[in-house]
Amino acid sequence: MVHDPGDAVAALILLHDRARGGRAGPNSMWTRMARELAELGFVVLRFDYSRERDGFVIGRGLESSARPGLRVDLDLQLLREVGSWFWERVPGLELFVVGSCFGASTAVGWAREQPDVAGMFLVVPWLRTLQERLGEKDGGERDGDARPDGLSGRMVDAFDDALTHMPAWILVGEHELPDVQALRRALPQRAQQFDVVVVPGMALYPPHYPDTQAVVREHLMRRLERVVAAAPGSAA
Amino acid sequence: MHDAPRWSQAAGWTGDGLRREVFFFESGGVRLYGSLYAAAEPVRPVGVVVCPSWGNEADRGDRLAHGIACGMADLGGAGVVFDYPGYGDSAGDPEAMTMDALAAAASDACAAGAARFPDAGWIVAGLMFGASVACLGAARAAAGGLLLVQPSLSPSAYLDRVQRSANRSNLSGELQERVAYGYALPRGLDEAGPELDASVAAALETFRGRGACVRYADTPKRDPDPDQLELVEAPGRWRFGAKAYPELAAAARGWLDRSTRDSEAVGSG
Repeated sequence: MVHDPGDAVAALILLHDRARGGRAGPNSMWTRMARELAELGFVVLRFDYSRERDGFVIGRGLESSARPGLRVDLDLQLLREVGSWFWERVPGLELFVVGSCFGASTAVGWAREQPDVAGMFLVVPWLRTLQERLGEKDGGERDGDARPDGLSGRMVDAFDDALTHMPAWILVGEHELPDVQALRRALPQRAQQFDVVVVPGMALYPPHYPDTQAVVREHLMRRLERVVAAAPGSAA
Repeated sequence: MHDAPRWSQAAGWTGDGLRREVFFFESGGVRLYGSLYAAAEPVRPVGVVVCPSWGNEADRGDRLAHGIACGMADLGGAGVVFDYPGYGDSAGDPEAMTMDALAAAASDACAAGAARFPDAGWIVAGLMFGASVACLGAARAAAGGLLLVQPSLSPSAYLDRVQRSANRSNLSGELQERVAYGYALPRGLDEAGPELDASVAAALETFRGRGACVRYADTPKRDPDPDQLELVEAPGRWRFGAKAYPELAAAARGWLDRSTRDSEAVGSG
């Protein structure tokens, strides 16, 4: 789904979390926000992940017992293809990526390969291993990827690569701060390249409760308004 | 905002024997979102419109809804999934939703499907709460087929049950009024109560086409199985809010396959 104001000053890919119905009910914030961002001046792309809604046929043959990493790989490949398609259609505009939770992790995995992306905005990125998130019940193999500090080695590497060519803005609740602090310690050479905004006294994960979403929306919109104001061609 | 020419051509795609198209259609002055699966080379002139369940259960059941629509396309026909007013990518106010608007949406989805997959007979399918919508929508669209999957044929009882379930899962002790799992309960549905249930029963009673009720063999006995429809039991036990319902999907597809081999049987009612 593309939200195009017709006179956009910047482009943005919005990657919601993997909760079902990222477009409705408690999660309709992402749909509403895409529309609001278009009014602000972004041309916005959002899409369904593999096996969800209009992404139903993507990875259709995948067994439900398949290693969780396979779906992550599939969604990253999907983002590569859809992202390229989108980017070709917004020539001359700076492209940003916004991701929430699972979407934030996917955004970082993609951004590391995209030196021309202008920046990433991440809401409670999942920095630990998939195994820790999904558990044995999902039939996953052990990632064997966990670092002594609890972070996923793959995620730390992806951040390291992505931050070589773009800045990141990270929004977390106070309860999720330790993982972001660990990321700063893991990447001291990149510490100046990401801003961390902490919402005191809150956990922003899971990100699909209305009160949490209101806080996320407020912070994210405020930050993205600044992006539009600074964009080439902006009237602001 | 959504359909600038440079994007609209991306609304359709054909590959691997499947034609996909996403589109908007009008219903009661509101723009609704639809998603079509069709055989690239149709061999069965049959389409199925899937009415999802409501709220959280619609979210959780999206794979079943799309699976049924895609399954009909695999069989050589077509399937349409649509978003109710105020849900997903459809416009409208979810709190102001009425059963009449839902039935009209189902009927208009049939018309939107027929415009994209012409010369077909249409089956209206409904999942859980959506089964009630399907009964009313099939009557309104004069559809020749009706497929009820794990049906809840009393909308008022369904919404009451979902709200109680949501409140049970809220351990804070604060009971939420008119909200279930973050979804606002539609005022019009709640207030119509028994009258609404009677209209669903009447629509089912007067249905004269080919139809089935597909449900898990182990299902809490709330509503009697509709005796004018073929009963298809899927192995296993019903569970609210499951991630996937593979047995229901297989049983529904099996019935679609059997009942549409002779596609003459699914004419318009």
